[in-house]
Amino acid sequence: MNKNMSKVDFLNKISAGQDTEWLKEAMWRRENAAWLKKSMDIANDVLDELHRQKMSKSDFARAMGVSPQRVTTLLSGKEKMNLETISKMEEALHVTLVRTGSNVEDSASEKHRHVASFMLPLVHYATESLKSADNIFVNSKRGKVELNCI
Amino acid sequence: MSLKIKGIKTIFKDHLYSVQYEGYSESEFTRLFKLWKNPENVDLFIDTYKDLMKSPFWVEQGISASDARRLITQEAVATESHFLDLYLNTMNGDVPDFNQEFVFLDKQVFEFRLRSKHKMYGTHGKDHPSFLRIYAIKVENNCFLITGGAIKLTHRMDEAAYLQEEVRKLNTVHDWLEQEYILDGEDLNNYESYE
Repeated sequence: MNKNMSKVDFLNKISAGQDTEWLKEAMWRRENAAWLKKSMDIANDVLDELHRQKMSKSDFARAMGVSPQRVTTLLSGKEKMNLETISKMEEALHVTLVRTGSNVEDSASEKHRHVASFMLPLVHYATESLKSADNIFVNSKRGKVELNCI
Repeated sequence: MSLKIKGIKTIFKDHLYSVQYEGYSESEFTRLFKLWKNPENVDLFIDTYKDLMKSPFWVEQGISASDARRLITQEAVATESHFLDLYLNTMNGDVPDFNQEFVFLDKQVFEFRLRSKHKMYGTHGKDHPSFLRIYAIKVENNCFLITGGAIKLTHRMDEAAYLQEEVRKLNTVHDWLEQEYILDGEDLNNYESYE
């Protein structure tokens, strides 16, 4: 370091210049924050699912019909994925990654199925009661149906 | 094997610089953000050091490996955004105060960690420990040289081998700064041979 030079001047002298790469990337990310957040969320969801199913990335790539390099790009958190790609990932993993009107309905049906299975013992009990009943009284009031078995 | 310094790059002129090591195409500052914002890279890292996530500290925090991956990628984006804000403020004539941004560790060694509050995944507004560290050497008042950085999963740096690599990088840069008579003001009389 030259004796007339301050430490900062020396750093400025030997610097290869302004690092613009992080700056460009940071500005680009800010401008595209909304979809980049979704891309990162999807990548994280896929990684969670791969761990849960103990599926390797190469198996995932095979199931999707793409190269392992393509999977690496998709999991980078900065890939602008189209609907076809998302659907392929969903099919490969047998899960829903993005909720739409129809799969929200599917999800509701799933919930009803769950309720129905929960009620199965009750339904079984009611059926058995009906079989052994001599008289069945049906009362219908304001859309409610009551079965009285004697 | 310790890394060799290829050169330095300017992040904030007169205030913040970053080392670039031989064999790497980017400065440490740029390289770290690229790594930390990539869910797959972070996943590989967490998977490699998954035993560290089983420590009582993380169990008490209720942070799983999956939570950690999401929090780290979010923290990386938030940290980069924080530096972008600082940079954009310099356009209005503001001077960034890195003396406040970097926390003293030991001698001339400082670290940056995100302290501003950001809404993070799964935290429900609760604070969680920051995962990311950027290590730097203070060259003079409000002037720092970044040597590297790491995802910190342990309380102490000597508790994980990968953090020891960061210590080696700090030592390499420290030695280089001493050779260049930048760090030790006492030796400034010997700088004649340097341009």
